[in-house]
Amino acid sequence: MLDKIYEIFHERMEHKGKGFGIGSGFTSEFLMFSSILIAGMLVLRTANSVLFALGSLVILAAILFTVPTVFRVEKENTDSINLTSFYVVLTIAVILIVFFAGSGVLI
Amino acid sequence: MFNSTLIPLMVVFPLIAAILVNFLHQKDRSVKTIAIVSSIVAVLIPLMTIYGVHLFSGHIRTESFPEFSKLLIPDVYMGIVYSYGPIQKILLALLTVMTVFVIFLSINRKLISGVYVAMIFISLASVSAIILADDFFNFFVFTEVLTVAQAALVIAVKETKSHKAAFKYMIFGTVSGGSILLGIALLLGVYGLLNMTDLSNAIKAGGALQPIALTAVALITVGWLYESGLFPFHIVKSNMYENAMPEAAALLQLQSKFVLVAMSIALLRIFSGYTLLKSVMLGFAIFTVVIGSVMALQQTDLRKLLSFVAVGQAGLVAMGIGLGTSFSISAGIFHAINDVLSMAILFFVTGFILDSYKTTKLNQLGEGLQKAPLIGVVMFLATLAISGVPPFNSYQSEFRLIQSAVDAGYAELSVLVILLSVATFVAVIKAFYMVFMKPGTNIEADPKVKGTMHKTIIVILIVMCLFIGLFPNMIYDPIYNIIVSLGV
Repeated sequence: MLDKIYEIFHERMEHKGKGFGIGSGFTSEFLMFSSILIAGMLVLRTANSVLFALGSLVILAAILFTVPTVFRVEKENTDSINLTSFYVVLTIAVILIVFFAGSGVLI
Repeated sequence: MFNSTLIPLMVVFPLIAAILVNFLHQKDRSVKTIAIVSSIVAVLIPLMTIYGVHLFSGHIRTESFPEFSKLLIPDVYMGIVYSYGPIQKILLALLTVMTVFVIFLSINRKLISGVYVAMIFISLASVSAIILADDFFNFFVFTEVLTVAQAALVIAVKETKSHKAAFKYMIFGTVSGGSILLGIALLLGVYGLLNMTDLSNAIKAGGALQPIALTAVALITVGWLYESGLFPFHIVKSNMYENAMPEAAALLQLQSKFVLVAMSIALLRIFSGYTLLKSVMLGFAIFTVVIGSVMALQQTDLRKLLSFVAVGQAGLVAMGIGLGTSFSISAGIFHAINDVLSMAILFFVTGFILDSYKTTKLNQLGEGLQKAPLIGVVMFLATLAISGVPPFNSYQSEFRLIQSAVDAGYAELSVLVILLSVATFVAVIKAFYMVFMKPGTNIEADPKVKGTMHKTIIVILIVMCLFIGLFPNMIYDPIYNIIVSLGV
């Protein structure tokens, strides 16, 4: 599996400069995956709810199928005004929902 | 508290300097003289000012406000208040010193004119006001002024992509500004107050937050994300750093981090009993720090790489603040101070590379150590500093962040901080290798560029990093004492 991932990185990162590009690509993939795993563990431990546990497992499984994730992250983090606008709107909605639901106004 | 008349000078003096240099536009010699003298005076004002408050127009705090006003607290401030304590002193001293460095480094560039220097002074005045203001509306006004001044600094580069970056920054600035203003208006509607201390007391007296006040918190949090350059505004912010002149980028990242600190303290003071706010802050901080580091690792341009590192480090500062304990908030603020120093060195090194090679693309650079050994050594030391390697300053703050995460019951986050430090090290050391050690380059360095000013300033900064690393309590203890006394 690692060979296959290396091939993918090699193919997609060749233009970024031989060994260094692939090396940093691997590092960022490892970082991304570890961060998600740690975040999942944190949510599971602190939230202490079956719903959150199931949600975290589903997200982790979904991410496993998208390896390598860094290219998707890079694609979603371009300086496109459309993408940023989308995430800004999403953030405003999420913040409002969290504050209202968390304070018992919605639920 | 002593009603110090010098406090407003920290805002008024840079504004006067800005008007003067703007008036003398294109009279280069006069602009340079006034800029240098004014920036040095601006450093002296925070050092000479005694701790205290300044009540604008002499409006004193009312002892008994009439009952028919329906205010939840009897005594309130009647005018704008600026307060000046140890945290403000440390932040303003660093801000003014860095502004002097940026003015010294920018002064001989062709894009320099009265207007460019004026924008540096206006941004200095704005950040000073944001740090000092105890009035929410005054705070908002200066965040807007800062947005315009920062956009102008980027536009001055006169490249299409810098114009685009500034334009996007302004567009999302309207979203953020509108959010903050609407949030303030809603709070004013509910509590009838604008002073942060009074608002905090009134919210405590009013019990649980009403839905309209919750909407206000949510809107102000959106503004906080923008001003701090956290997700989803990290792209807009990193784009600004990337497209500004590297010296200006060093100033922009410092200003963003100090605004992050000032606004976080303001929010935590006003909504001190609302724990969900801290959780939301923490969530966005974690997201930003991971995305920032991942994106930094992917970059092949030094300016873009450092821009994402700066964004990721802002996330680390916000993580400390979001953990919400006195220890973690102090560690977060301490990290902001340490990080702006190391990042400034890296951006100043980038400025020298851009001057010498006319490019910052990593695959075109190489063999830099032979041409500029001192710059290379300092960049290597700055890489160690920013990655949290002892004995440098960021080690002290990152160690405290890790410790505070464990103390707060989030041991997982301490692992994350370590991972992210390693990622930052990998990203920046890759850049160091590509610029200074990689054999073979097809670009010749400009022999006319000596970089004496760059070298002097980065040596001063790395010594500062080392000094804070060896004597961290000089900076950390006053911060911790104030945070404990604020009770946030």
